[in-house]
Amino acid sequence: MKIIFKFIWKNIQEKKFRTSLILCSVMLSAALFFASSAIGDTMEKMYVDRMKKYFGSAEWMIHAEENSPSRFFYTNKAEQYKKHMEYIVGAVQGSGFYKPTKDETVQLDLQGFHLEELQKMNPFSMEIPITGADFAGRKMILSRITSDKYHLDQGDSIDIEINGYKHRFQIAAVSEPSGPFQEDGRTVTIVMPRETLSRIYGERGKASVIYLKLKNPVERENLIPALEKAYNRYTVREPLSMEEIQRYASRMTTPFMLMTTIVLFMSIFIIYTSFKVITMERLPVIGTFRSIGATKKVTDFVLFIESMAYGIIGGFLGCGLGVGVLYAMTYTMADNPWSGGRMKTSIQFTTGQLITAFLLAVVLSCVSALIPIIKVSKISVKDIVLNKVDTYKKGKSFRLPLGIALLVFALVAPWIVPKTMMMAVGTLCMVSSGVAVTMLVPYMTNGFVKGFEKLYVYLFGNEGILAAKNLRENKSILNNISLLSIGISSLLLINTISDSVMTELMSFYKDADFGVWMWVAEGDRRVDGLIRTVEGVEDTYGVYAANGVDVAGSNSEINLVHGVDTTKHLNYWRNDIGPEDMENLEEGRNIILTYSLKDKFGVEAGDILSLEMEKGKKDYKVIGFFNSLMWNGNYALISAKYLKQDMNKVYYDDIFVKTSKNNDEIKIALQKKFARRSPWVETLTQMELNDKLSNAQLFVILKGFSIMTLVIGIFGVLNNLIISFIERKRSLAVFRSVGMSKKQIIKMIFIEAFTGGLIGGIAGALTGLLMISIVPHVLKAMDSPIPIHYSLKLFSYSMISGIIITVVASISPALKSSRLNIIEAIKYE
Amino acid sequence: MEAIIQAVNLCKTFRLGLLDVEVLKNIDLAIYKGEFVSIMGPSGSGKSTLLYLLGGLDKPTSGSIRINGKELAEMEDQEQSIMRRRDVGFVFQFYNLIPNLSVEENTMLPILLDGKKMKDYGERLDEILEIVGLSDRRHHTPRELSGGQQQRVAIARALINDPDIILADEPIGNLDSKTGTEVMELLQRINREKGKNIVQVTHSREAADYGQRIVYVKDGKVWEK
Repeated sequence: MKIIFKFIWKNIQEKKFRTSLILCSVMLSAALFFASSAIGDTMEKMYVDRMKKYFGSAEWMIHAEENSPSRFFYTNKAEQYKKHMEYIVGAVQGSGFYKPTKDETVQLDLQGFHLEELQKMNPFSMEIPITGADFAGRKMILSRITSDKYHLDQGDSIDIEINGYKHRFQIAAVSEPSGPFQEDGRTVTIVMPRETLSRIYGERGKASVIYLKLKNPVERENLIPALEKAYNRYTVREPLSMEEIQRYASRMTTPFMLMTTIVLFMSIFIIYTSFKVITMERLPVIGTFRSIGATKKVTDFVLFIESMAYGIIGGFLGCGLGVGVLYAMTYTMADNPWSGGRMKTSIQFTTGQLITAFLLAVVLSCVSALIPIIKVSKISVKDIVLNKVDTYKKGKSFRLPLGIALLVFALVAPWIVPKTMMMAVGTLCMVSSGVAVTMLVPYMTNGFVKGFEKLYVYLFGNEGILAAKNLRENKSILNNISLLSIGISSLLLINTISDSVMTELMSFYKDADFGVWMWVAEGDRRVDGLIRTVEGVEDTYGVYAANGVDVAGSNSEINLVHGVDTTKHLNYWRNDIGPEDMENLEEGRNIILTYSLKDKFGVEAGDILSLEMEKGKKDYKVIGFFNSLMWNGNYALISAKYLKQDMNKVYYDDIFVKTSKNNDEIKIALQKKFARRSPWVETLTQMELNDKLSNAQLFVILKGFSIMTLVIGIFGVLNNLIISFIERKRSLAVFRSVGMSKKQIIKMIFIEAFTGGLIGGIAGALTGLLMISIVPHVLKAMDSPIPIHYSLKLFSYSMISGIIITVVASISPALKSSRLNIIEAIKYE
Repeated sequence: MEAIIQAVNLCKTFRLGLLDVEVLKNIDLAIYKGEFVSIMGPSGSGKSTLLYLLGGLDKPTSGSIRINGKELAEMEDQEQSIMRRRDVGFVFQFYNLIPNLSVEENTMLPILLDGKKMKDYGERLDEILEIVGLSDRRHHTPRELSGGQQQRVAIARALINDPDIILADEPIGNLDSKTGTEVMELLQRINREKGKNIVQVTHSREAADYGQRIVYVKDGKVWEK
């Protein structure tokens, strides 16, 4: 047994490049699989950790909503349940401004707490600890990061502008960046005594939020309804919607898993082709073993253990690399362009995920090697010993029908499967496309070669004809074409989707004809007037919104319905809606849908949609359609009058502001003006940038995945060219013996590489087109119907890169071929 | 008589590990126009090496080889390649055909490599395939042919450019005796009817007897009875 393991180890060591290639494929597959499976958990943990800055260990919270009588309320009703609670913490939230210099204004997130209560809910450590007794009146605590940034220290006093008035506060303590002072790169949190802040707001004794933690979570069934009853005009909810976070995280995992599947497929292909060569190389040794009495089982075992060794080493390295990849992915995703903050990068994975990735590597390696091992096992000892093994086999009969069947499946399935299955079937279709092309590559190559033969006589002379003929049955070059087509198609897929999303995004913002988008509590005509008093504001337009409106009888909803002012809407949004349709909105309960919703509900103009509104089911007549990417096209317009009526709306949900001055300055002015109402204000330019950045994060990683696919492909191409050189040494020597010069041989090999690259590029572009054709179906199923924008430039570059890759990779084999020792190759091969 | 191949003081040394093995030692050999010469000798005596040196497939360690009066050592790769296409035809023991090319294409290789158009050589191809008896197999690939047929293709390839010299390394070494006899008779016919010079390396006395002259190689030296 020892001698067998020694033999296996020597085999692995002998062919360093091939060993590296197999290990690299296994390792990358395991790493990407691990990272893709763990990214969901990691993102989930990061969000939860981030949110803990605001909620600590609280399990429930009570706060005001649109219809509440006031933002502030007493905590006494909650305190009736004190004995069932681990804590009840009342807090006052607000915002203020600090001017460290004449020209700089910093927005502050003000949190009013009783110190002991805050320490219980969201503990933090102070550099010089203080007690609750020291924390009364005009005192404040800030984080070490903030104090360092503005050169402040314990005992210093600063002026904070709250509600338009300056208040002087003394720094009672400086905290480490923990608990509410966790660094997110965005908010500057200041904790002050609750009573002080409530008094400043003129709401003495009241809180704006209550945080709760139950002693026994089982009691929630009784306690929460009781609290909901007690605070019936307020919202009682869990601070974090775990369901939403999980849904978001799992949605994020899907594209990564899709790319991992493509990488896995490519690895299987590389390991399979490498093992075909390994088994052929080992034939003489296998023959020797068998001739001296080793059973088939023993020789199979030797090969199988070799494949397993690649799996174990590759899996082990892959798990290590996977942790690195996961960290890199998490680091990239940690930026939140919308909040301007950055989450603390910490990765989360389970031992189970590591073990699964490791096992996947072992299984991947063993399964990919299985067919070549079984084939060798079937060869008789006599044939091996007498070297009568013919490696040539006429085109396998199942390849063509199977390839066509898979191709048809990939083309047809997306059109016929139900929406609920589209994600899974879409992924399957994309993998099928790759497998189909691999199956059909020899037939496709034959077709191309027939055409090229005629053309090449004129372009490259007789060496061109020979090169074209050589391509016909050269398995290594056929494998190269397959590898290139998979690599190039995955790169095209990701880049086309990314470009399409970005293009649509730009067009969405191009549709908007205003400078600032804002939301403010209790926004109404009076607020409109106040906004217009800000210098540089030309006009405002407030819209009412209803989110997640159920459509009766359809089992689906409209994500956003805007109640619009028909006289203003088209001045603010360049939607392709005719002025007549817009006017008609006012005529009654009429609705204009996006084309995406038209398809979703299968309606035509004149049809009725029954919407589940606050005031019950209301029938709206469809009067027109338009294009919009708002809420990924899940968007509709009705008149403001009916939305207010049917949804009991009083205040605006969004306010669009036309400006004539610098939008950033107007944004700050508006933030200041409405500071008490905690407004959300953003410039359109910044929103567009944020959107781009947040999409770019995902696409950067996906592009990384697709580049890795191409890199494995390039390694595979190099390996195949070397194999091809070894296999063709004899043929090349024959060419030389009948008068082929060194120049001619180099020319022939480069033409072969050029042609292989060209066919690979074309096959890649076609596979890419096939894969991309599946995408709209998947996006539609995900309720994100984005039109695909094909870039001729991208496709051309991909084909050119296919040619460059193979031609550059051929330099070494071409030079080796020209320096070939003819006698050695002919006599002793 | 005029020598078509002239080797003078020919030496060839191979390096095996740390050892230098002198395979051919100061050999002088002349092949005259119209001759069919057989080279015989025990395994490892260097007879194939001598043949490859004569055909310019390998380089001597020292000495000179002239083909049709031209010194091989003075030729660049391009010139040597042209010489192999036009002046010399090789026939190997294991046929050495290109597996994915048809009989026609394999035969026409030297023509293609010479930059000539295949269609201009249609008649020549027909004639050669007729001589080797493969007219009905012209579209088959080597995999679809027997050993004897493959060797005939190799002979056809060697003849297509109408070279003066055909060098054959164990041409029947891989064939059964009946097929071997057929191939030898074909080579003899080519020598007699077409006036081609043939130099063959063989182990078989019977095959050697098809030639007019037998050269023996042993211990790096050549001699003739």
